[in-house]
Order: sequence, then C-alpha cells, then structure tokens
Amino acid sequence: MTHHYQCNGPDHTLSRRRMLGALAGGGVAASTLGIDGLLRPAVAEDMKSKQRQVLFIWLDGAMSQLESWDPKPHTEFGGPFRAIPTSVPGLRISELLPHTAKQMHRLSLVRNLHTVFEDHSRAVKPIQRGDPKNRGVTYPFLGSAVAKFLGPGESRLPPYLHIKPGSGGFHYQDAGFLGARYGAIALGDGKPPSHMTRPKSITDEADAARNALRQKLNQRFRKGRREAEIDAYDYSFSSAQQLMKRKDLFDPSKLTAKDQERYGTHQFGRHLLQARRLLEAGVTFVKVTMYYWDTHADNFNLHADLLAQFDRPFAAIMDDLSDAGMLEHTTVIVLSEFGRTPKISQKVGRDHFPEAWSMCMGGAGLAQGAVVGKTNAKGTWIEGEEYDIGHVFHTIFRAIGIDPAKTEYDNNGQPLPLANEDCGPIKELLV
Amino acid sequence: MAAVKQKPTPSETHLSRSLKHEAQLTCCRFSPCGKFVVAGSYDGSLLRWDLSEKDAKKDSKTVSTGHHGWLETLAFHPDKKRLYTADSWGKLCCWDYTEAKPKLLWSNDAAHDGWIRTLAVSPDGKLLATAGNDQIVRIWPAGGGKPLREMTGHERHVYSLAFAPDGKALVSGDLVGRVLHWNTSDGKLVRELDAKPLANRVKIVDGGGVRNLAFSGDGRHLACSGITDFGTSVVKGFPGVVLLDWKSGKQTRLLRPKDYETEYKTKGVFVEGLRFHRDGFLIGAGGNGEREGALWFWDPKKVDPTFQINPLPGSRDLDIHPDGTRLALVHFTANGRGKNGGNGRKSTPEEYRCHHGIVALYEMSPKPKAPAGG
Repeated sequence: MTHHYQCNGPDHTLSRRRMLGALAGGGVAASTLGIDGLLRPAVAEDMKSKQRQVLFIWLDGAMSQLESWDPKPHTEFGGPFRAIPTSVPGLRISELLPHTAKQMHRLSLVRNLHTVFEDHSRAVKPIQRGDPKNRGVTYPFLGSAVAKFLGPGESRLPPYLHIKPGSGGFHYQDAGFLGARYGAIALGDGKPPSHMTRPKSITDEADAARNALRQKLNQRFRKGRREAEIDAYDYSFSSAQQLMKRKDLFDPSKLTAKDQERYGTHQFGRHLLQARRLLEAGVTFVKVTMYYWDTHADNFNLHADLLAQFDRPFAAIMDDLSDAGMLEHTTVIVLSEFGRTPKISQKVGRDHFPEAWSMCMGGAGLAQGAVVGKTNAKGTWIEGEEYDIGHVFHTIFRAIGIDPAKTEYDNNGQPLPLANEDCGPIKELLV
Repeated sequence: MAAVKQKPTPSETHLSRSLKHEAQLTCCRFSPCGKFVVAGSYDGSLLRWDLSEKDAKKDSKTVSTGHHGWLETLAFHPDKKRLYTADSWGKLCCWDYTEAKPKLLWSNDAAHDGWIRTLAVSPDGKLLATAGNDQIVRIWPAGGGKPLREMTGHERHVYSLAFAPDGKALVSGDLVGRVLHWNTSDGKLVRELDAKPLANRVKIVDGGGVRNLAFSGDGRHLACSGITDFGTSVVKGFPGVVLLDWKSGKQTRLLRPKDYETEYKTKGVFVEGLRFHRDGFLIGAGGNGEREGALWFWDPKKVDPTFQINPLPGSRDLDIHPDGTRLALVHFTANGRGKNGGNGRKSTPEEYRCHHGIVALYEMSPKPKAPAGG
C-alpha cells in the first residue's frame, strides 16, 4: 500500500538562506495586510471586498464515498455504518461525519463522478490538473492555475501555499507549462519555511547592502538566460520576503485556546487552522493535504479514525469562513484522486474505484445544499449523467470568476484551453 | 447432542465441512449443546446450521433478520436456550435459538450509539456485557432491560470483552492496546493492563488494537490478539498474541506464528479468532485472502506455535465445539469478478457481487479413511 504520492522531484526544505542565496533575484515591492486570526470578526466586512480565494483539501489515497458523501446503508456493499440526516432536508451522509452533516447547507455534493485513472501514480496529478487533452504539455495543478489567474491579490503573499505533512519545499513542478513561479510553496507540517527570521547579527543596513549585491549579480545572471527562469527566481525571492514579513501568521501564541479545541491538536486540525489564518491573511489558494486514505485493508476501522480527524476541523473552518463572511469569496473543495470500490475485499478493505464516486464543494460561486447526480442503490454505478474531472474544473474556474469558454492559456504563443474542452461546467452547482 | 469429551489432535486438523452464505461473515459460535453453529453476516442476518443433519447436501441453514448493517458479534447463554446478537447500528437482540427457526425474545434498538463490536455472557449466566465504537462498556441483566452498569474509561473504540472464569472480573480491550479490568459487581475500574504491542500508529492513523480477548480455563492467562509492528505502513504488521499473567497483570510473552518475520511481512494478517482449549493450549486464526490465512496452536509457555496450518483461507473468527475436537472458522471466498483482493471493476452488474462467507468446520482428529474399494 502506498501512502504518499508527492509530486516529482525532491522535497527541498525551503529555507530563507537557500531562497536568498541560490534564488538570488530582485525583490518585488509589497504591502502586508496586517490581519490576524484574532481579529477575524472585525475584518469580516473588509474581507468581503477581497478577491476570490480557494481552500482545496486533498485527501490523498482516496476517501471512500460510501463512508462519506454517498452512503448506502444496509445494502450489499454498504458496510457497517449508518447514514445520518444533515442540515439539508432529505440529504443524508455517513454517520462518520456528524459535524460536517451540520454544514451541508453550505456545501454541495457531486455524486456522479466517473473518471478514468485507476491507480495513484496515474491519477493524482491528472486529477489535480483537470485531465486535459494531451497536447504535449504539462498542465498546471489547480493551485498553480488559480495563482496564475488570480495572483497574490492585495496581500502580496504567495498565492499558492500548500500545507502538508512532512517536509516543505518549493513544488515548482505543480506549475507545469506556466513556469516555476506559479509553483506551490509547501509548508511542511504547516510551519513556515525554516530560517525565516533574519539573524540579529545582520543589521538593516547590512541586509540592504547584501540585497543590492544580489540584485546586481542577478542582473548579470539574467543576461543570456530565459526570462521565465529569472522571473521564477525573482518570484521565489519576493515570496520569501513576503512570508518573512508575516511571521505572525505562524505564531502559535496568537491562537486562541478555543480555536485549538475546536480544530483539535491533531495534525489535520492544526493544518486546517493554519489554513484559516492564511486565508484570512489573503492567500489566494491554500491547499491542505491529508494522507493515509488508501484503505485496501481494514477500511472501516481506518475510515472511522480518519474521518473523525477530518470532520471536526472541517466543520470548524466552514463555520469560521461563514461567520467572517469569507464564504462569499472563498470556494471550498474537498477532493481525492478517485473513490473506493463498493465491493468489500477479503482484507475487509475497499480498493480503487474511479467508476462512480463523490466529491464535496461549496462556498463562493457555488450552490449550497445541492446534490448533483446519483449512483444506483448499491453504489456500484452511476444512474443518469456522469461528470468527469474536466467538468469539475470548468465548474471551479467559473466559481472563481474565470470563464474557460472565454479565457485560455498562452503557452509561449500556443493557445491552450483552461479545462478539457469536451466537458463543461456542472450547471446545477453554479450560482 | 451431548458434548462428549474427546482428546483433540491438532496435528491432524482437517476440513470436514463448509457451510456457505451469500454474503461475507463476521463471527461464528457453536451452541453450548453442540447441535448448532451460528454466524453473523455483513447482510445483517443471523445464520444457524443444524450440525446433527448428517446429509451435507441438505442445507439446514436458517436465516433470521432484524439487524442492520453488520451482525458483528454473538454469544450463547449457558442455559442452552438463549443467543445474543449485536450489530453495527447499535442493536442488541436475544433469541431462543432452539426453535425451528431462532425466535426473537427481546431486542434493544439503541443498546449503544453505533457499532457494537463485542459482547460476552458471564459464566454464571446472570450478566451480559457489550461494548463498541461509542467507547462505553455496559453490563446488562441477561434477561434484558436497562443496563446495570455503564463503564467509561476507554478513549477509543472498544473491540473486545471477556469475563474471567470466576465471573468477578470483566476485561475490555481497545484500539490503542489498553485493556481495562473492571469489577463486575460494581463496575469500578480495578486496573489497566498493557497490550500495547497491539497498538499500531502510523503517523496519524491508529490501526490494529485488541481484536480479541480470551481467558485460559484456569484463569491464569489472559490472551490478547491482533497485529503488531505496522512500521511505516498501514496494516502490514505481524500477527501476534500478547499473553498476560492475570494475577500480576504483566506480559509474559508475545506469541507469534512460525517464521512470522518472513511469512507475514507484507500480508497484514491479524489474529482475529482466539480461544483457549480446555486442555490448556491456545488456538488462533487469522489471515487475508484465499491463501494467506492460518490456524496456530500455541502452548502458552512457548512463543512459537506447537503446530500451525497454513495456507488456509483468511479467517475472521474462530470457535471450539463443546466436544473439544471440532473448530469453526469464518472464511471469505471470492465471488464474481474481482478475486482475491481484487475489486471487480469493469465487470457487469451481474458479475459485480459481494464475496461469499463460509463457516468452515475442521476436526482436530485423524481424517477418516476412505471406505475400502470405494
């Protein structure tokens, strides 16, 4: 069983020293927003005018739709768990999501996903790239695409931050043909890049002098090289600078005991609380990854454990985004690379199942409390229309204010559609 | 059928009969009278086979409904009349199993909030204990009604229960290897025992747990079974039984299959079924898939099994017949597309069916010789 499906290439520890040294480049003047989590209610009105943002929760390994969004209790493949009512009349989800059930009026479900990739190594990247048609280029992950179109906004913070277990680094591969500057800055365990604080022995004057030297060297380095590469270096450097100015976003002393209790002190709870702080600060796209969903054996006990870890903090962040008015401009997406088989294996597990699975999304630009599509009584096949990940990408782009029918990428002169042109948006979800 | 004490010979263990059900099975027990074997199913049904029916081709199975989700656990009352069953939706039932078809005597739809994982009947037949994913242990009067005692102390799912042979103690085992010793008379926590080798945490996920508890007949040993050493991956450890000295509460040894480090490195096999034989040896069963299961026979004084049978189909539960020479194991058998461990994708709806369940009856005695000239 595989547990981590990280992007290609090594995870580099993103250190300030490495940024300032290896990625020498000119800084971009920037302002900081100065919003802290403790001030959320006060800034709620202000946030309404902010640009679109995205919270993208990636459940790596593939969550079972039958133990979450599309339960089939007391049927051939239904498993041991019950279905419970939600805040949407008539809608029931798994009993393993009691807190999320109370948030369903803010969310919508897609229960008719039918995708083509059957294993992790082939699914994780294409699903996060929207499975576009093969044109000989590597498409960007959703986060990179959103970073490209929405940019950093007023916060000037890096537009694509990825909170993940383990180590952090600069995941330039996420950006595909967009170029490294749209890659993800991964925050290992939700922590800021190491060496974020400038040593006290370096004065402001000394810092300015060495930055000037770097810029000079960078100009020399730029000669004879592709602009895009230099832009990526510049971008990485400026990103580090912006994060350095916002150390407060990672200061645990600014968290309230109540919030820590609501989100939980476990890994995903901490990571989702950190995601909230970053969204409050104006980060455009925050991805949060949770591993260990690949339950080929002992599926039901493991899902009971994993969903308990997911449920409370997810409900907490939905409450917080709603209370702060942020759901009006923040789109929330919960996705895996596929679903899990209805058939219960001899290891009491569920295997990979792209044929009929579910996802959850809500917030800005999307309907609330909607259920799109359906599977049959046993959950084995879709009844009626099917949607692929391309439909989902069309929908997400539309939700954040980008119309794939009117917008396209320009890859050094090569026009490329944003999302698979054989698909369109899921109209039932758009508002 | 009166139980006749016979001397078992584990080394001669052989399959004598397979009893089939369309859905996968969770558990099995022989009735104290020895006449029946019963099983619980993923389809929520209670299955009973009459073992006195000698014609193997004649299916004596009765199917009783009324449960939801999985019928997860069952236990007989020593009165040779009552059978208790519980399901994953929190329902507890009491049946008269001696009728032509088991007759429901009473039920409690909300005995627990959700999945009841285990139940046990006290040796004197006065008490019934239940526990499950709501982390609560309850003691009920065997005749039904409200719980007499409700014990809290577990902080994770409770998987297993066992009464001590003297009936004074009840033990409960959970997901993270805690075994709590309760005083049966007042429900007070007496002590906590350590079966931590069965607790397996991989980064953020807790797996494994105390899947089964069994006291030796003399009350000297408490055996706790499950899986150990997940390492860096979920459900890839080694089958194991933590043997505790009941008096001191200390671990005496960790029982393993033979060559466990090479044979079971990647199979993720739990010891799912666990029973002490009245002759003092311990029997365990477990496994995954059609050929990754085993039966292990341990002398409690030794780490390695004195005898083991493998490969067998993977087992989810085990019981010993009152005559002491027969075993019942619950196996899964592949059905439809998607064989051993596969998932059957791309099959037709007709082919896409659940695996079957088998109650496999084994005899711990020499295999009868085929009739001469036959």
